[in-house]
Amino acid sequence: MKLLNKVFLTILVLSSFFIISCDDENLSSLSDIIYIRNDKADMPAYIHGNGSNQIFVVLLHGGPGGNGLEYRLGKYAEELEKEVAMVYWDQRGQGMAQSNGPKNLTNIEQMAEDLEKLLLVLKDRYGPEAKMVLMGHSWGGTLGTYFLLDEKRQQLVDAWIEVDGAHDIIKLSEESLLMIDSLGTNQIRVENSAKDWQALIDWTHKITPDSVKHFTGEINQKSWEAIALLEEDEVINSIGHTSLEELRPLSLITSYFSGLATSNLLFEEIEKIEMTEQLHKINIPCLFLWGKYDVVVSPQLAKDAFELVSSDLKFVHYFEKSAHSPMSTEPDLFVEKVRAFVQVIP
Amino acid sequence: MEKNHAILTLYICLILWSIQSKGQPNLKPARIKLSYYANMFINPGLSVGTEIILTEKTTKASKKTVLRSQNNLSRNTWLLNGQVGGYTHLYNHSVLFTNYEIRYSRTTKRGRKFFGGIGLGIERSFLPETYEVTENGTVEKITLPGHFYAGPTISMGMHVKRRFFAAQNELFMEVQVPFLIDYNNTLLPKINVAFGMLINQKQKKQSNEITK
Repeated sequence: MKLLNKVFLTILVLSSFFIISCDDENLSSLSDIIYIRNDKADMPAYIHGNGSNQIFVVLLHGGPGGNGLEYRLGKYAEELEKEVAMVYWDQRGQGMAQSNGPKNLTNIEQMAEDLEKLLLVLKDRYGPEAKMVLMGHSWGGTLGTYFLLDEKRQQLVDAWIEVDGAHDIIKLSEESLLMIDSLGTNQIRVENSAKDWQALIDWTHKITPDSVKHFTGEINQKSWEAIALLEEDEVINSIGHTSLEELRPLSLITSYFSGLATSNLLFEEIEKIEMTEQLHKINIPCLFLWGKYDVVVSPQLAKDAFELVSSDLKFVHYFEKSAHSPMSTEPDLFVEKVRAFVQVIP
Repeated sequence: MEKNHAILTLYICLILWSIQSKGQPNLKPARIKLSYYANMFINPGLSVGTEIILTEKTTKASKKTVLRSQNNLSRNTWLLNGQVGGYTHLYNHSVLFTNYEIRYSRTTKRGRKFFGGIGLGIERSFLPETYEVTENGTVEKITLPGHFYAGPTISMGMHVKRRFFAAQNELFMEVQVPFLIDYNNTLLPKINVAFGMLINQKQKKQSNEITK
């Protein structure tokens, strides 16, 4: 019986640990963690910042395989949280999301449905008048664009910010090859890492237009190599050191293993995505923010999106000293652009 | 699925409890373990468990070794280890777990005890405020949200004998790695560390089999 008592006592002590979240009624300094359950997955949303303006920027992280909180590391996040409430959401199978559901639930349509449920929960929690702004970076741009192509879902969103978003993987790969070629030629001319650029250019010449779709993974890898060269030669700003304090809610091992599995499950579906032709279906206010030197997701995609969306209110900005993550390499200007945009959302 | 996991956990607990409480003649008295149990080194928790000696073989040391060591015996022991506990990830979830391992322990002639084990475990996560949108479009809060995960565990560690509470007990440190099956469609390893003490219960007779 003694042992049973000890077990009971231990469980009692542990149960005290479970009181781990609390509602912060003060909207001007939100710091909430809630989970959203949909189709066998529980996904956390970390809500931080100033909700008194009733503007909620729902951040769709990159990857797939990333997590929401890695977007809270930079100076830009700190500044944006003074103006709006940022919602750092871990998508299905990534970050600290939990599920033991079947593999066939890991697909873009399911993730778009998850996002729909997140928005409904946020509206329920913070009021129907709360404005929902989607901000998708990289893969988040893919998911956000896919979500907005559905007219009913688009009605849940007040504005769309796409940051170096990959809404057309085939075109993105073709443009990456062109960028490596043209940027490389320029960099060789000014004697910046000439040997490395030449090797990259030589590699791109081996890819024929018909075979691009079979090399999306390799092209992505070479594009990152090109960005590394640009950073090394100080053509673009470096991301620099950031505090890891905001990653505390994250278990890095869990996030890594989950992200890797989800990324692998989605890969086949992602590499076929082409949404340029459907961009006209988007008619809410849009802001496209792109690094001028983004070899991974070419600025040509921003140009296409800006021209093709049907929105009356639309803006585009190219960051002169940035590649794939302008929010980290030019944080002040990034904040300025987002701040100005959210103020004009009707 | 979750109900099945819960029933299985309860069943295993009852079997172990039954073995211990009936005092099976072939088994030596269970030893109770209490420990601070940290997940990924930083997420705090507690665990309580028992260790039942299944077989123990003791070898007498040579005279030369006796001179250099505190103890003249080395022991090779097979143990059944069971524990329940929990830990909390302060920001987004807590976990209750139970696991059962077969462990091999070797006490060296110098009195140091090392062990390794392999077994099965199950855990239930508990999430903070969780909401779902029902079929009719209303948002509802879920009671006791979380998931069951099961999978193999491996562990290794060491014990040091210390005299406290008027008895010869042991302090131990162990690293336990449960592998959660089907966690976000993958096999997720977790690294847990336990620091605690093992309380030896009084035995009526000491009947060690000594071989040369």
